[in-house]
Amino acid sequence: MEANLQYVLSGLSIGGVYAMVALGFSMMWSVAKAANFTHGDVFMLGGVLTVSLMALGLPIWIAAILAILIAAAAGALIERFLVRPFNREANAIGWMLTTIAIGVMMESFGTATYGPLPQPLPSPLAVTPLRFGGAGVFPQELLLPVVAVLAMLGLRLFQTRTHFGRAIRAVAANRVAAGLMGIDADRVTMVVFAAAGGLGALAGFLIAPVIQASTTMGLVIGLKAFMIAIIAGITNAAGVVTMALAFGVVERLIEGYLSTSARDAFGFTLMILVLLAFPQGVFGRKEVSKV
Amino acid sequence: MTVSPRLAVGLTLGIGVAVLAFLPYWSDVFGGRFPTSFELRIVLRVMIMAIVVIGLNVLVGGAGLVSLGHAALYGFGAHVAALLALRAGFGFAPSLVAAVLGTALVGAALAYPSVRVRGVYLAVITIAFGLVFVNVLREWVSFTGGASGLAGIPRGEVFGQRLSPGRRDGFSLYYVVLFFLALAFVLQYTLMYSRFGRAMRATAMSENAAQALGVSVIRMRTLAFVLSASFAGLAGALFTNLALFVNYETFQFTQSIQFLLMTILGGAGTLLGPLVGTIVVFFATVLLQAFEEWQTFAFGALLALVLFVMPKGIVGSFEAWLASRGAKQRMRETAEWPHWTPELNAVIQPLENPPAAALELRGLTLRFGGLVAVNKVDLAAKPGAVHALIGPNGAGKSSVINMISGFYTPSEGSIRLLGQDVTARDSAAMAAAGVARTFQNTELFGAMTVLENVMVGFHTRYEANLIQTLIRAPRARWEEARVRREAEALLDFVGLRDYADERAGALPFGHQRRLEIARALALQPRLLLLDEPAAGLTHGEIEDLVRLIRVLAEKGLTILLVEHHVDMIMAVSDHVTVLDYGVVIASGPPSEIQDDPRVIEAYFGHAAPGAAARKAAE
Repeated sequence: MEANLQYVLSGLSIGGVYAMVALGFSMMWSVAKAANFTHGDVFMLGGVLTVSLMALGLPIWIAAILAILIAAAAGALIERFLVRPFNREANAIGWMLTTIAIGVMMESFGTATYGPLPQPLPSPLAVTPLRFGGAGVFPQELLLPVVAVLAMLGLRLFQTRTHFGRAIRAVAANRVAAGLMGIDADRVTMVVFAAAGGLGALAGFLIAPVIQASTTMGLVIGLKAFMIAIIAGITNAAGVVTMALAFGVVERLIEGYLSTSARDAFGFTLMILVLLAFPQGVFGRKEVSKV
Repeated sequence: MTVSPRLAVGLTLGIGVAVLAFLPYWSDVFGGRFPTSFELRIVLRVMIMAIVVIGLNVLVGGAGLVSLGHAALYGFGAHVAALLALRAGFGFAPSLVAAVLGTALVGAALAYPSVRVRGVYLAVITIAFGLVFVNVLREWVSFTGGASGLAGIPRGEVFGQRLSPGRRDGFSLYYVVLFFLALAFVLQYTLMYSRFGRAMRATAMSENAAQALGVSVIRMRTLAFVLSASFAGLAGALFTNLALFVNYETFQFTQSIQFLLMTILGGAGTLLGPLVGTIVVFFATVLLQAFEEWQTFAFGALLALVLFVMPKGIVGSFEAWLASRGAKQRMRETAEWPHWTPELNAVIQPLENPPAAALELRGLTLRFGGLVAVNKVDLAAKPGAVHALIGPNGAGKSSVINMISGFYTPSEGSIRLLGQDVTARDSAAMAAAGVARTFQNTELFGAMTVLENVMVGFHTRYEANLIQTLIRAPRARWEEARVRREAEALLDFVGLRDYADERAGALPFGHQRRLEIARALALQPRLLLLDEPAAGLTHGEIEDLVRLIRVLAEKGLTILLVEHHVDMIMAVSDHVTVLDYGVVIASGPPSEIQDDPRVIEAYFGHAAPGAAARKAAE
């Protein structure tokens, strides 16, 4: 029982990371019908840049804010120069390749300069674990799912209550029509990519005290987050967050009851099976394409 | 100037095979030490990689899909062959076949679930597969040897000849690999230049148009990936026989990216691209090794650079340059249309025993959430009749067309085609049942030629299967020639014969409309749905279009026409059904409809001065 509680708590924690990264994919996909394929590396920036900036003597909060701003700028630049010019036709695949290329460059640049080894990021919230019976968890870990859910709710409020948020929804629903209404769809898309980048980096900063910050932490988490977004139904933000939290718990259960090395094999197989049963995603609705 | 693909393939094959076949004996003729056994092994590695890249080219250049897991598929084939040789004592041929089939099967399992909604999902799934594959190899030590891998794989034999790349065995493995490379190269050609290749490219350019012509997007994408995976599996088995040792390190994510880089740099979709790309990238990698820890970075930079500077790749850019250099700006002649020729009798045949109604809609309803777009529509169209569907904007006309062509699923009601219930079939199945359509905004396969566009329309009528097509069996050749003739006849019919080898996307708008009709007719439909065919046409073109529709109706084809152009409707239709807010408000011959007050009201509202004046006059 205690073991199960432990799995659920730490599962929610990693699920929170997936949720924030997957939410970024969902946001980007909604407006652009494309995404930064190596959003995982932007997530990595959040952890790695914070550690690097702290090494320069900056206090943690300044370092984290700077890291998030740099990641957001990276998101915007990636959209402007790597996605937009390569996403002009329907079914374009160029953006996929350009963002992968830049992701490979980011990761190897990081490895060459920051070093291949993970480095710790000290946090006051990751010192004494909270005890729930025999299960223990750092407050830092519990922060992640909370922030993820808040981010999702905040996004929803923003999209329903503000002018710019409604513009985002308009672009997501119909880019051309939004353009005809005077919305600068390109600018909206760029801002959304920046926001997604910032959110991803926030996740990277928040998880770094738990798993340590390394340049290779982005690839797998980014990939899982993208798959989670797909099997949840990529445009449904609430569905994506729910699925991400659930998947985190499932992963921990697989680790607990089978083995750590079985986790990814079983996890990915499970996702393919879910996609087989729900081609539009579990919470996704069939899209009616206007013919 | 354009080189015919057949000539390019023949020349490359002849020269390439001759040079490569001679290579091991180079030093015997010219003296010197080249090639050493080390150099020969490098050539072998490059040839094996080229087989993977040819397969990837079918996927990327053909179906427009991306795989980032091809290294893992390659590794899967290698491990199947290694394990069967090592643990089950399989010989070369059976383990090779098992590797190809096994990898194809994995390909199907990956592709089918992921390509149903969006092609992009496949890329994500393949990355995942690649990571899991390496993960399993590393962790399942008892089965795969983990990091120490599988060593001591016995050399295979073919016809009693030991397979090795060494001189003592007559370079037997070298020639086996060369044989398979040549085979892969030829299969790439026979696939890309066949109805399957055309259908794959069609799905990459317009899913809707492909579906409307009976080409199932899911099936074509899955097929492309399965074939692509088979090539990777074949190459993997050959790699096992060369290296006699396999472990996960050869098959990691970076290798997948390298394969993709080879495909793109060479020129995706070109026949020679995979060969050029493999050679260039392979030797670039050797040079990049000097960068040490910056090697991967250089790789990414190279990929980005290629995408920015040369998105068509080396061969693709060269072909474009050749074409632009040799293109005499020849004036093409637009012929009169409709132009009926006797050859068309084979394409457009009247029904032998036409039923009372070609198309029958009963209580057809479509709801989007709370909105009722189409409300209990009944409609019956006689065979050989031109039935017009009119109504103000938003009346539900296009929704009706979309339900009949299978793009929308009706919420209620039934659709009967020639007496057969076809309700709620998907668009490709509707096309196969005999429903052809054009689109309000023309949807052509822009990068394909005009003739190829029409030939995609014949997809459902081919009988030769995949194998027959790939080996160019007599039946497949004969069929291809017949389809080409009939497609040309259809181009004649719409006056575009002279444009046959022009890129469809380069046609002027009116010609695009004509081409779309020709392409729809290639399906040999029983029912032709025309969604605002006159939109954007000149007055003269509309008159031609009216004549064309009448010719088709005389030949027994039933036509359902959505149109706003009133003069045209009056001139061409036998029967008019009027929709307003999703409900049928009038139905009858055009002369009656013209004066129906409900119709006038629907179009102009109550206070329409014309209607009021007319009422006053009565």
